[in-house]
Amino acid sequence: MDYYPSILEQAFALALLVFILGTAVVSIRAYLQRPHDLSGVRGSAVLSAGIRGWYIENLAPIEEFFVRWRVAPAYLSYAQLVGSVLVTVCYACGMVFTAGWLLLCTGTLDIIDGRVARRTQGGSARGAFLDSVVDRYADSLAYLGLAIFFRSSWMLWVVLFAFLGTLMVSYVRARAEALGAECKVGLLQRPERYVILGFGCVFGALVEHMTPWLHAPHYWLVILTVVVLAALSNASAVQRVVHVLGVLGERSDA
Amino acid sequence: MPDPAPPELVSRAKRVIGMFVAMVGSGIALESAAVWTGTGIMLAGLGLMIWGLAERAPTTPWVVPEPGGDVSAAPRAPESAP
Repeated sequence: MDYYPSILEQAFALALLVFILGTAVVSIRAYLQRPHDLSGVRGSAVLSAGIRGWYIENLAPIEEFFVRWRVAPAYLSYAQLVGSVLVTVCYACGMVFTAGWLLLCTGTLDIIDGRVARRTQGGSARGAFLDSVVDRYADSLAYLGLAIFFRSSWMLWVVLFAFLGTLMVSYVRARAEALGAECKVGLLQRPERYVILGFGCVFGALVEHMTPWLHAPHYWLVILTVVVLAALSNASAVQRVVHVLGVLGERSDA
Repeated sequence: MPDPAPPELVSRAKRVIGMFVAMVGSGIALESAAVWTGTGIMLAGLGLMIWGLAERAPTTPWVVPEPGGDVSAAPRAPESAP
């Protein structure tokens, strides 16, 4: 027999949903009422410059603390790795909400370590290499957790397809840059992936707890999120391949 | 030992960290058998967040006017505020 959440659990999930959405709306409204210089913030189709600016502003005090206390960016990368292992464990235990939230935390650490590195050391090659390696492990660990969560369902194939797209997005850029071609295009880069998967899991788990009476597949919103992620990450990889082939072709013609 | 951080920075950090901790705690309370541990972590996070919010009110105006704008429109901190 399927697990059926109690009324208390349903009410708690609803309260959490209201709290998250309410906090976000109040914070974004307060942000929009103030003037901002977003000239240094690069937006995308999924995450606009305004949303990125709002998030970076909220992270500013934490970043400032790490800079003041001279915390090496490498330690933040290691913390990101530990957080990613916890994400896998949470997915494997069926704790989708916690996994989604920890995923957002690890994504946040990834943003902070780069910003702290630029402010303290000017961004060393060693730090950049370590950051890239940890990023790949973090991506892989998140998909490993999802694969364990969906191990006995057709969704396992979708998770693997999304994993393939994510790896190819990173690989194409790394290979292109090794060949001297810049490759920053792509609908779905790393922050976008984290936001879509993280919030998809957070809201998907809450909806699952709130609506046990709904005749839909379990965790249908999480399923939808992973399907969208699989499609968009592979489309981004193809978009990058086409872009790099164009750049390299122009260079060989010249 | 670094210089002490400005109070506004400390209160903002409390709010952000409190939010993250509260959400992780609520996830543990909602999804695992450790309901009371999760509730405790959630309440600790909420406490930190409320502490940060309480510190914000007397020291920070809600609206920062644009340079050269109408400063009288912006709510002010009470006279007794430090």
